[in-house]
Amino acid sequence: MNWIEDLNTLASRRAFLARSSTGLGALALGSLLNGKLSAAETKPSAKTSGVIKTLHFAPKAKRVIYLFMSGAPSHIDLFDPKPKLKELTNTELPASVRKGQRITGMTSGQKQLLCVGSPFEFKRHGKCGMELSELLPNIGKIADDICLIRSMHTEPINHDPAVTFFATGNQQPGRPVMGSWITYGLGSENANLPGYIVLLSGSGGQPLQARYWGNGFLPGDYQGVQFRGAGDAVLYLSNPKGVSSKTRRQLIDSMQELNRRQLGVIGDPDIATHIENYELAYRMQTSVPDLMDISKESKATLEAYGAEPGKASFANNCLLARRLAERGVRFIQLCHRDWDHHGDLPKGIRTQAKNTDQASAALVADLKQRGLLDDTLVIWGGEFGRTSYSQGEIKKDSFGRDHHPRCFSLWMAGGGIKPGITYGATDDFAYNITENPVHVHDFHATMMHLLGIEHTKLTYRFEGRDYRLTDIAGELVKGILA
Amino acid sequence: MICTNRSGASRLVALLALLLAGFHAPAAERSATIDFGRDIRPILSDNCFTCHGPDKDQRKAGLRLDTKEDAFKKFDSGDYAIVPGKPDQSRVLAVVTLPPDDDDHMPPTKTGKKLSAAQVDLLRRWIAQGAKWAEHWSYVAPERPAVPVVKNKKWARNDVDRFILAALEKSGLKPNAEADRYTLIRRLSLDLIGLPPTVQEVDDFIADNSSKAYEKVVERLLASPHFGERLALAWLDQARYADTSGYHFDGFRQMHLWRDWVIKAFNDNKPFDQFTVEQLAGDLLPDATIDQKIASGFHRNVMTNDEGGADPDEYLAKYVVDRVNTTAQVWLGTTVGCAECHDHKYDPISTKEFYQFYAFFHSVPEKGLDGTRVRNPAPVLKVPSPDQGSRLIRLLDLIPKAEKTLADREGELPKEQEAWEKELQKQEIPEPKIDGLVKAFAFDEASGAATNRVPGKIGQALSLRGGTNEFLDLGQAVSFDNTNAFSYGAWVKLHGKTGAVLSKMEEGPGYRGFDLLLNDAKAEVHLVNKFPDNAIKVVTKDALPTNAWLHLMVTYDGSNKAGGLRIFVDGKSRPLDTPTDKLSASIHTDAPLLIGARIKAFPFNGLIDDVRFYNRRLKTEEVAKLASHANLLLAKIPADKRDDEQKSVLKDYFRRNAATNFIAAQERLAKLRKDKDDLMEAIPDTMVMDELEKPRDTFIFVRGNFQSKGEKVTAGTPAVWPPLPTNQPTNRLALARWLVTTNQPLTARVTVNRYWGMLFGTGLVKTANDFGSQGERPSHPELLDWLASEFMQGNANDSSEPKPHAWDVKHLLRLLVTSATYRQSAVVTKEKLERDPYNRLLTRGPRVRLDAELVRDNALAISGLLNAKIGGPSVKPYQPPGIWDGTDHKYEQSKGADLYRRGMYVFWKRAAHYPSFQTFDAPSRETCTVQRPRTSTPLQSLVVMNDPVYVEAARAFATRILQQRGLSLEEQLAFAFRVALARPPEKKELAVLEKTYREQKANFAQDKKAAEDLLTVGESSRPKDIDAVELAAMTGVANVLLNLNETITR
Repeated sequence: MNWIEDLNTLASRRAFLARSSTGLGALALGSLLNGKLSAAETKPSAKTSGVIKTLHFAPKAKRVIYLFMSGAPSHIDLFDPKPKLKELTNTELPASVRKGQRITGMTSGQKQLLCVGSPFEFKRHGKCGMELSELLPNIGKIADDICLIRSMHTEPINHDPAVTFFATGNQQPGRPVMGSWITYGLGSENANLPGYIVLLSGSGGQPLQARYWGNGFLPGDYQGVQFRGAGDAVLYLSNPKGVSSKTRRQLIDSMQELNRRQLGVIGDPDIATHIENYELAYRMQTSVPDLMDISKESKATLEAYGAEPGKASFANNCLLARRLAERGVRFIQLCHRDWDHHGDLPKGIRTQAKNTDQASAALVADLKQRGLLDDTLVIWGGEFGRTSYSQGEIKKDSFGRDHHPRCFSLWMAGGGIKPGITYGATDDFAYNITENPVHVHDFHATMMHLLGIEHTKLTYRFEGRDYRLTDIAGELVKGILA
Repeated sequence: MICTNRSGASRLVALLALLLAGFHAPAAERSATIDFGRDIRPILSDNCFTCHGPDKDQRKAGLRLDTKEDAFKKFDSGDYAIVPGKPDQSRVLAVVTLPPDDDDHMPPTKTGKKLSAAQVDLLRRWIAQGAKWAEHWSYVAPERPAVPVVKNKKWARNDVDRFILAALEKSGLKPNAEADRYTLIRRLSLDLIGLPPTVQEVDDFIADNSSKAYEKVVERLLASPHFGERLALAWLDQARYADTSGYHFDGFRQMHLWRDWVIKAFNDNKPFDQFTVEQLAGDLLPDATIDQKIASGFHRNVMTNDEGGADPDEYLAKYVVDRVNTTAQVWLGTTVGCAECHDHKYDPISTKEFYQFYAFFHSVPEKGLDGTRVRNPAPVLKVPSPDQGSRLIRLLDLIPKAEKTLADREGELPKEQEAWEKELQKQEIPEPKIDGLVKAFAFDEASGAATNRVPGKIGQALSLRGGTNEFLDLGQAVSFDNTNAFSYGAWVKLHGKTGAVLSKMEEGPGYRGFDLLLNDAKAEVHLVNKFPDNAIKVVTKDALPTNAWLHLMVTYDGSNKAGGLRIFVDGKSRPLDTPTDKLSASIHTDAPLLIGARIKAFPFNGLIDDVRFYNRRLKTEEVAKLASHANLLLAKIPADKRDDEQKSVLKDYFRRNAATNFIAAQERLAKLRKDKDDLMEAIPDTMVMDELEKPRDTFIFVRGNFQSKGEKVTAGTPAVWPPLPTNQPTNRLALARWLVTTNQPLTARVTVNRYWGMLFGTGLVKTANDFGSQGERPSHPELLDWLASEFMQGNANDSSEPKPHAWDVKHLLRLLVTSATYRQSAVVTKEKLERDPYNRLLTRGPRVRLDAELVRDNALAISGLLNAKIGGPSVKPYQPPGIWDGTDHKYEQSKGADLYRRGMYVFWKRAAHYPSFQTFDAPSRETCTVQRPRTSTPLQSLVVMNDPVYVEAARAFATRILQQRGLSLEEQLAFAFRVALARPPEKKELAVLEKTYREQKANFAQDKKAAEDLLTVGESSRPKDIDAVELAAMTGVANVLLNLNETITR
């Protein structure tokens, strides 16, 4: 066999190898095109197509769905009931509680830091009796499936550095985000789709920067690829007007003929990769629209999520997240905007809770029903918490809360997480952690552990240093493991 | 994405190499002598320095292995880490060979690091051979090495080749033959100007039989104005140049003057030492020119923040840290960022030294929060164009003159007023005749309860004291409806700020009717059917003077629209706010007309005179006449009989309305001032560096925390490098000059390495961003030093100063591109792929995918659409909707020729990158990028197939092909091939194009609408005399050509 032919064959065999090495075995080729993984077929395996050839631990989760609530939802009004704080409304926050905490320029000039309790009722849910705000009736219904952490804490006090910190383990831009690390480490399970996909919803509030799903110093392949609700789901996926699928195929055939001739003359393996990329691009032109088309979902499913085909919404994105999970996408990140309630919090948080509660719960229930929750890790949370004192005046139906890094709440479900528990606790002011603190680095270490990765071992050398997601810290949070 | 494809080629190579080739022992195992720098330091650095390196806080057991002095020191225990010649007595060797479960085993198991048997063997042999130590190669200033002697005397064209060939001869591999001329001119063009050669340029080169044909092309390209653009590309990445601020809101900024300075500097071949000094410290040069100040903007390209509530001190520190990191990256090829929080673990840079470096950049008069989201934060420099400059000079000359004229005219006012009054006193002043008067109330006679009469504006006026029942009820004196045109108003003098002048309005909740109020000193009018659902409400934007006579007049055109309603004050229409604009039904009411109140509310305290109602909309000049009439009457009163108010009103009236000369002078001055303001606004500015008069103090931030100040430090450079010159102040200028002194070991090496990488795909040092202990050693160390020395010193033997070609970038590039190494064909043989998979030995010519901007430039150039304009503000080409949504900025797409500018001028938004550039690995430029990755993904395929830029380029290219009217189809296709790839097609290639054309022609002939649809992509026009089916079919051919691997590669 001519060695150029070897190259050609290798190019396509390599793609095959990558697929079969995910451990999906014979399933791979057949089901990828159909895009459905049944529970039985997705049994965790120790082999990956990423840089980690053999996982460090037996993985509990194979993929992550991260519901990022941009702007920082108030833990006090959603997850962390504080009757005492309600009693203390309109009294000054004791210095013994604040302990010299650095606060933002938005409230540091206030004459008083007056406590304000939540106006919302909290009720116990599920067999576990998890206490949640009346704003989250649907999440209440899945209480027995989720693990609520009330003792998250972080370092920055402003959005941009805090989101960057939560995403990359460092406040300064430039490092890869969780999704990039995970796909770098584990590779993709679906050769027809990116391993890391991002969906955005909501408007107003804090801006979303592309670096919140950026690959940092990792190669561009690990960039989160944004799938869009409007226009092409993947940029430039559609052929131009007037170019049919048949025409496109003919044009690609012509290109490939010329490319193959050139490969024969020059022998540069780059050309073989180029040829293969065009074939993948062509396949994506069919597989992606099919994936994004939720109109064939049952009426019951659409209603459960509150999704409406053709409309851009958090609900639609949650349903798409399930479809992406089914197709083996490694890291699925939803960003939902407008949780930054400095003023008129009761109104704003009610709106955002309404926009997200039903679909978030529906996603977990749907994954569970389809047997996918066992190996899918769902994460719901923002970049920090909010203050127990009011920003601005406390009026009858209105007050605000500033940024608070010392504690916040976050919930997880599936993928090796102990369900139906509440982990960690805060003081009567929901200000300081009193029990089982979970730093962002600890959270990262635990997430990686569930995916079968020892967080200190997934590193990348850049400018002479071996970097990792957890920087130089990170402890496994054993108490939340199933 | 799609992990199977990441770095596809390199993986493929690796796989292939593994499958087809045998195992190759590392260099050290073949050569008998161990080289410390090559073989030993990397082992120590990677495995030991974290605990036994420069970081004193982490150092264990008092052992330090990164300096010679420490490594050979005797321990307190009497042991030695290393005993030259005696492996058995060297503790280092003992601990790495202990069993892993031994407590003393090194490196500790928990670090996950482990020495291989081969590495242990190397260590042993190195010690046995005498443990020869050498300083880290890149910290020793390069000396010009002797050019090696090579066996093959024919191949080398210059000394560069002799270094390359010497290594090749050692490896037993042979260089490739020279590439054909088509390949060479295309490679040269894309490398040196970033654009493909034209067919004519190719033909000229092919036809040139002279021995200097190649050199002529090189010289033409080095002299091209596009050379500067090409060279600027990588520099803009390093300088993190962008059009937005980066943090949080990512507001807009404007740095194109700096960017254009860079282009020009490359075109002018500004020596690299000056290029350095002007960008780091142009502002501090004696008698700095405008250009030098613009250049100093290099370090203003840092991201800035304006997030609400963020701490300014925290961000100020971030800006300075970024300057330190960028300077070290760009000039020293060294990562110093680690030392922000702790002593560097691998390279000898302490935290104290980091903050000493920091002090150089700490006294810029800037704010931690930039305070602006739309323009450049200070310090900025306004830079007028020559035309703007001369207009500004003219205005600055005219304005004081006009001020003088105005003062003169003002001085003449009393005399002029006197003459004017005399003239008026001779005449009758009749009441202005204005049609449509329905009712007028002069209040000259007293009657009724609230009917106090006092001298008013004209004759007597109604005087009210603000009592609740103290208004005048005029019953059904007037009646208007929403579809009538009408006007009404009065003279009023209000004490206080609020009171109704008049109203004809029902009580709530409907408030049907109309009114005229003064509310908080603003005039306010309601026309109401039912408030607020069916009503108009307008309010003057500005507060009006109180306690003074005002002439108020409302005019309405019956349109039901607030736009048809105006409020005049003293004869001038006032700008209005429109809180409510929803009138569509009758406002007629039987409620009485009240003067001085509205439905018994808004009582009026003051005087009201001359209330008038008209049944038409008065024109502006009519209202002006009404307003001036009463004032003109004052002139009739003899001067000595006027009271103070009358005097003042008359004087004021004269100044505003009748003092023709004074008014003209006033208007002229106002216009000149506005012209100047407009001009200043239009003059671009650019951020520059500057120094505070009183420098800020610099402290070590303990663990990098800006709130935790440690020892105070002053500016200085790390001890590992040569000292700063002592004959000048220790400031940024000294630092800049220090970077380009000839004993500086890094700047020249780092710079020539990057240019090598630009031309050959990979630098001689592969880790172009790390020349430190953890970086890769150069593939050809002597060549790197030879080039660095050539670059720094130029013709060192020449006696003139400065030496010819010192820091001469064009000279360096000329040297590289005229080498036989560069001119090799890129053909890969099986043997070369096995033995030199990454072409580090340069066994073949370079073949690399074009950079993001050049992929686009190349397509535009091929299509003929390219707008080759150089410089100017950035442009916004086609971009799918929604890309900027996350940041709430609106993308206002450019029009016309701006759509076809080169990629480097595309608006660089850090938070939402121009998508196709991101797909082709262009960085977001948040921080300094020295090396772009080069990936190959299906998303890139989608861009070139479907992005409107490329679809339009294909259509324009097709037009260009079909416009070759004298040619046969085959000749047209051959022309197309040559335009795209420079070379003529092989027969079989031509056949593919022809088949494609016929296939597509058949498709589009069957579906003409599809043809028309395809041709609508893009805003450029298409000639009507080309058949749509043919053009669409040829667009298909063009699309094929633009998407070839060969097209996006050079």
